[in-house]
Amino acid sequence: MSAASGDRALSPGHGQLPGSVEAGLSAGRSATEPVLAIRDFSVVYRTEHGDVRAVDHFNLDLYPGEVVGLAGESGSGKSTLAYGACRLLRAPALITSGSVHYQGRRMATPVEILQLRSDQLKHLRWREIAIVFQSAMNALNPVLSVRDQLLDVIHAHLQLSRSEAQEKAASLLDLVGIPRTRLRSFPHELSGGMRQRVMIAMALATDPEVVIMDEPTTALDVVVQRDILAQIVELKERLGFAILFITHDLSLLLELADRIAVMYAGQLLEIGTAREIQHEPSHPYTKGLLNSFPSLRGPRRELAGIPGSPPDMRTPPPGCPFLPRCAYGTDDCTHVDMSLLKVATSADPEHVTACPFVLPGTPIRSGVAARSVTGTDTSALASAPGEGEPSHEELTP
Amino acid sequence: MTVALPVSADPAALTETPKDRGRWQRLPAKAKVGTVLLGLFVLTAIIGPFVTPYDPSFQNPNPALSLQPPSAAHLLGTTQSGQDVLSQLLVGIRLTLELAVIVGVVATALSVLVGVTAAFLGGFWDDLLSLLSNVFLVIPALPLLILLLGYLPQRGQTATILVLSLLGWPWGARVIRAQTLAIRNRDFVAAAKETGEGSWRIITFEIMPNEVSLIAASFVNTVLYAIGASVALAFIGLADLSSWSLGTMLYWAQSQQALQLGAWWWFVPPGLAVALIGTGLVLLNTGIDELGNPRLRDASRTSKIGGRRLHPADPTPVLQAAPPPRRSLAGLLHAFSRDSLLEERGVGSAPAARQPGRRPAAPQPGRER
Amino acid sequence: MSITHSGAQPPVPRTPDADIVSAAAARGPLAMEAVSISKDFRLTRTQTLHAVREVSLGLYRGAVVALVGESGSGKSTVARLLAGQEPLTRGSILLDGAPVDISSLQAFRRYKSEVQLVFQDPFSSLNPVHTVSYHLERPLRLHQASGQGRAGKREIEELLKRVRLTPAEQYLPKYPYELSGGQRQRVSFARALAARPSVLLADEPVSMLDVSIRLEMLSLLDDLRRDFQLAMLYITHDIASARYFADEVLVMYAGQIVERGPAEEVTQHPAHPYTQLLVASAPDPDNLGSTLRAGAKRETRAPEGASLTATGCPFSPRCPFADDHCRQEDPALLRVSPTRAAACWHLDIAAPEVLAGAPSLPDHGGVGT
Repeated sequence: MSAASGDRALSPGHGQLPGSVEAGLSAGRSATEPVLAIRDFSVVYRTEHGDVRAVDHFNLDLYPGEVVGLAGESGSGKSTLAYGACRLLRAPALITSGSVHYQGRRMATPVEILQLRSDQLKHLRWREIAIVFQSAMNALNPVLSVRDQLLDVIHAHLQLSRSEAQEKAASLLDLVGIPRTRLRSFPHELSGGMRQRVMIAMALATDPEVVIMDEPTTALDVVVQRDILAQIVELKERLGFAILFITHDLSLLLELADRIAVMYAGQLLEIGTAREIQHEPSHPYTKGLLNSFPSLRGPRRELAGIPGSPPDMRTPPPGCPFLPRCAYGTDDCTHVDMSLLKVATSADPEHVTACPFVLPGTPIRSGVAARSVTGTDTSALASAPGEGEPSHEELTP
Repeated sequence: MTVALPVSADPAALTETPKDRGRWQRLPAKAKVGTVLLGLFVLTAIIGPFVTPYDPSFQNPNPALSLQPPSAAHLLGTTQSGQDVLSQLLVGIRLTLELAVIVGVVATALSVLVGVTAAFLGGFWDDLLSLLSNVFLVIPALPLLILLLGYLPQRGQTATILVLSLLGWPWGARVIRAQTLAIRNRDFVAAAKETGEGSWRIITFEIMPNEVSLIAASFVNTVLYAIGASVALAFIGLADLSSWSLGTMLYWAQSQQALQLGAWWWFVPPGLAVALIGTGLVLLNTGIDELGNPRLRDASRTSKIGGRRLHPADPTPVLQAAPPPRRSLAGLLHAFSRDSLLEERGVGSAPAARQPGRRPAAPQPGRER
Repeated sequence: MSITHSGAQPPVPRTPDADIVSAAAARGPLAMEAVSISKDFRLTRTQTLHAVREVSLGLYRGAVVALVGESGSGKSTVARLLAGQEPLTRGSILLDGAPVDISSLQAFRRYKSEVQLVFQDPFSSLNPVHTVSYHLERPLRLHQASGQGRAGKREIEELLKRVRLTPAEQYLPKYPYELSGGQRQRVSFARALAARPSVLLADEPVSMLDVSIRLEMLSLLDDLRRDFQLAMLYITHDIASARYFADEVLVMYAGQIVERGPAEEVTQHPAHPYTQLLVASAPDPDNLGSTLRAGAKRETRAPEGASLTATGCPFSPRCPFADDHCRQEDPALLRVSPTRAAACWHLDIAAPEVLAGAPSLPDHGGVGT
């Protein structure tokens, strides 16, 4: 994936990161190096009752200009991962292992985010890595006008004169398709879609390399959502940034993302291209998740979802965290070490999964009792819901 | 991109579940100190008057016993007229607390009544009751108190209680009204209505149980106000001067020139008592607030992680790898350095300096891998 | 919703579609009927918000009717009107053929034992200070005159088993904060069932739950519908789930019903341009090379800042087929087939194949069974 050259004017005041270059754009930068490399990354929340493992030895590479989707439900750790990688989490969060390597095109040598000081992080954040937060209504300051908030961002990271900054703020609104007259408006005067666009404009104010989007369209209507996503794709093509798109809506990622990573209970379960994930899902959770989205097109399928509920992260079970809900589970699953293995039957060498037992084509073994870690026999999981003894809900410990 | 990851060794050890620890232990430190302090005074108030060594009003005509500093016979000395200060103090604590608590109860009841009614009824009644609260809030309290008490025929305990309660309810009413409005819009109130509950039942059993910590805090606040106001009023003489409260003690001490005469044992004990009771109340209040809203605890406080104190704006802390067994000093320093960690990971080093003044966190054995 | 200013013409009433047969009628008798109901909210002295305009629908026992719309379309207001939580501005609601009377608390309670509303947010629809047991005991007490003692406990456990919260006795003493979102929502269902209603109004019952458990919850609702022959109204913004779960789909826009018909037909061959837009905008997992990744065209974007007009079709500012006639006169629901209707003047351009008569579709069952 070649990096788009585009018209990236060199922003003044840049160059205070260690190892960054004063000139040059894509000179010397190989296109096959990831712009963000997260390796062996773990985050715990240290409470007085013990450690809660929010993210466990996470590995992901993000390449320039690509869209990587991070799919997961509540408790999967996806937001913790994104904010943790930028060191935005507050105590009691604690990063216990790993490295986060950032190498933007404007930099000669990579930086290790986990080793940076506060002031160095300040230069990295927003200039290089920007975040679009989940709820625009909460992320925008309700007492500042749109222009003031944009100027805030501009002045914090760029050295522009007053008139230049005003023009930049206006041009940012043009970028996201909001009329310039809205500069004077306050957040509560804008519709949900417009507020989210303002957030996106703020994120792009300093031409970042990586944009992390945390459920940017979840609170929006389906029509507005499609609009915003189309806008995002257009901007990405134009400006050439990479996107880490976090959402629980896997069906959206299948349309939007180049590659998809599936998270569950702080662990990475599967990574593959969108096509692979859709047609050749390997991990049982991915299969189950795909089966949870009713489709409008195509014939009416039997849909089942996944029985049970996400685990309590205070007492993580040994081995695979998905075992209590897995239709393929056996006792061997409690010894799985959750390393990512290549999917043997897949044409794509980059398609990896954490389940050593199940392949895309493996049929469900009905009648096999899946043992939950509390020892309860959950053989009901193997049969279709609604039949037999309905006892799908487990008590959280 | 295949990476081999080590096995998850031991799941995070849970030291205690929240239910194991008693309620007392879970209280924040401030509340504990406040409770203990107040508890001492309440105890004194209850048994004090029964254990006074002397009758507080007894005026000893013996001039040798007038204005004596603390001694074995009179633990806190005597007043100008030979009265025992300690006895007066014991009686005074009870009287003052009694008055303050009664005012607290009456005023809090009034503010709950007004606040909840205004929020629940809405519309015209809300406007009217809010106007009433605002008027009472705006009037300066102490001058009004002085005025009222000055004109009342008698200035006994009852009069003071009435007057203080009259001016003590508006603040709480406003706060409770705001909280009730917020709760009223929540789904569980509409759900209770769906179940078919009547309005009174909804107010008393659905809404008010959610406001308990707010009402408790309001009560404590009112008691604090009542103590301050009653002592102030008594100090300027607008109280029943024949009874012994902390305020009247201070009045007599001041009028008999205790300060100029250097008779510190006369005014310091009551003054200190008032101060300590007030402190206890404030600490208790802060504790109740934090108990009711745990987020207050985390939001502004600095946290301690891995032995370091962190402010909310600090970047997420990173745990360094465990140091190898102690070798030479150089080896030890190297083990703590960032370069050795990156070597282990086989990644090129970036020339980022270590944070100055911060030593690496000591790893916790048994908790981290 | 549309807003009129005082002095402007009131909206023209639309003809009720009495001659459309509901796809849900095949399942059972008519339980509840809304006849041309409207709700206006007074914003200021001059502005009125028309949240619901002339909505008519029928709920049949054992059938699910889906009300699909975006936020701001008025669908939640319709639910509250049908539940009796808001008074009607115009129109009437019939329960078992008789007009609904909720003038007194007793009458309202009687209504509540027939019609129950389940709320969207599992995290705020249960009172945090009460246990699961209390939440279920209250409706049993009010509607079945039971819930006390050992027999009552058994009844509560029976309810919990119905919503698949087992082992039931372990859930009785739990507080809402100890339950997951899915468990809380099940308690909400149980609470509604305790009143033994004939009509269940579900306001976005699964949209705040995790994706992987949504289908299971819908399957539970489906079972409850079948077991108790409930007449169910399923309100959602997700038209795909309506396809699977409902018998009839009503699409709402700006307070009006713009299309109605059997679920499969409406979702597969939408007639109204707004329904077509909804269907086209939903993420389509089976269509990977779609507009999003290839580069998007944004044809049907609403012009920014366009306010909804008081006259004419409310969708006309965004409609690709709109002309002057559309902007002047608001179309009523026009019959397209014996079971379908759409409110559009240009169905011949927007959906010619529907007018010509789409091939009849096979009967469908509920979700997952």
